[in-house]
Amino acid sequence: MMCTKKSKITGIEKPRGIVQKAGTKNVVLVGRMLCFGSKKSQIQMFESVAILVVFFFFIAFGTTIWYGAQKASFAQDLERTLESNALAIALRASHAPELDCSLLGVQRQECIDITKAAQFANITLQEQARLSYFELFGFSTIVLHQLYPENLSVLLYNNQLSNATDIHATFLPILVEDPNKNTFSFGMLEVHTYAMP
Amino acid sequence: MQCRNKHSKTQGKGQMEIMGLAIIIILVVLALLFTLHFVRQESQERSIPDSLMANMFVSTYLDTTVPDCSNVRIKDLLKDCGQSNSMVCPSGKTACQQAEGVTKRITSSYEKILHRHFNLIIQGPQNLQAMSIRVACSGERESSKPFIVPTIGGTGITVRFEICEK
Repeated sequence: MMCTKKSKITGIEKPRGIVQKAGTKNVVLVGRMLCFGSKKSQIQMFESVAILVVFFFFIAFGTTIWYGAQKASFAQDLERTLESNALAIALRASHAPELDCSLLGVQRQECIDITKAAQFANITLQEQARLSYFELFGFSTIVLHQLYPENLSVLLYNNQLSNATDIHATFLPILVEDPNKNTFSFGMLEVHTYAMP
Repeated sequence: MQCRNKHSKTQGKGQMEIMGLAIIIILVVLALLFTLHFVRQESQERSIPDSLMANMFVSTYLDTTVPDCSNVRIKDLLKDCGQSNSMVCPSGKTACQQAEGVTKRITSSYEKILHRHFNLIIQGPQNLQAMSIRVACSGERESSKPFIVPTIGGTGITVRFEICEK
């Protein structure tokens, strides 16, 4: 519309301004403005904007997937850390000199002396003793179960974390020696560790 | 001439746009494959506590003494059962019977606390294999190393423990 004007003499629409050839089209210069016959430039601008929108959509999509994967990975890592922590505490308990089976100074692996365990349980009932063992066992509950031949349970250490939301349990089979009868019973060390995320 | 040039230019642009779309799709597929690769890698890692638990079960089981049989170890009961089955416990049971009874008691008590399925596999002479505890594992399983109880004649007894996935 802006590019044409109606001739007063002939009544025919003529291009306004100076007409110059640019490639295959006649470009009408009106003032400083280039005026095309079609809306091609507008379409091309829309295309560019659409491409940018799609590109940013893909980036947002990829970021969401990556965030979800990272979140799952962090949860798995936390679970693995708690598991390793529980296992470390269980191994420390099974190898502690206060509980181990020993004969003439030689320590037997994977074995707990039931007489030592009973005494240890009495000691850790006191707050001072629990504090001194906190470095070894942290926030955990350690129970020695005897499964065969008789069922028996001894609470070795109990230091629960109040309002703990992550609790992990580990069960380790262990021999329970009775040095008075010279017998080895089948037992299990149950360790619960507590953590807050 | 002008029409042919116009058509070839449009065709060229269309091809470029399709190539661009194809590149984007390839990039998205590569990103997905990359993510899947890392996720699968994590799930294939072994569970150290389970493998340790399995090994400790077998060593504890074999060294457990049986009060009903003069405090003989289960290992020795299995050995006698696999060889001659000549041992008779004060309770009147043979080594095989005593070993079977003790194995069932231990495994049932263990399962009640653990709340997971497991297999105790005893390989050797026929009468020993019947003592194995086998349960079908739905997923993956973690196995102990094979514990070998040597017997006379060279044919050892192999004891293995498998714990099923949580």
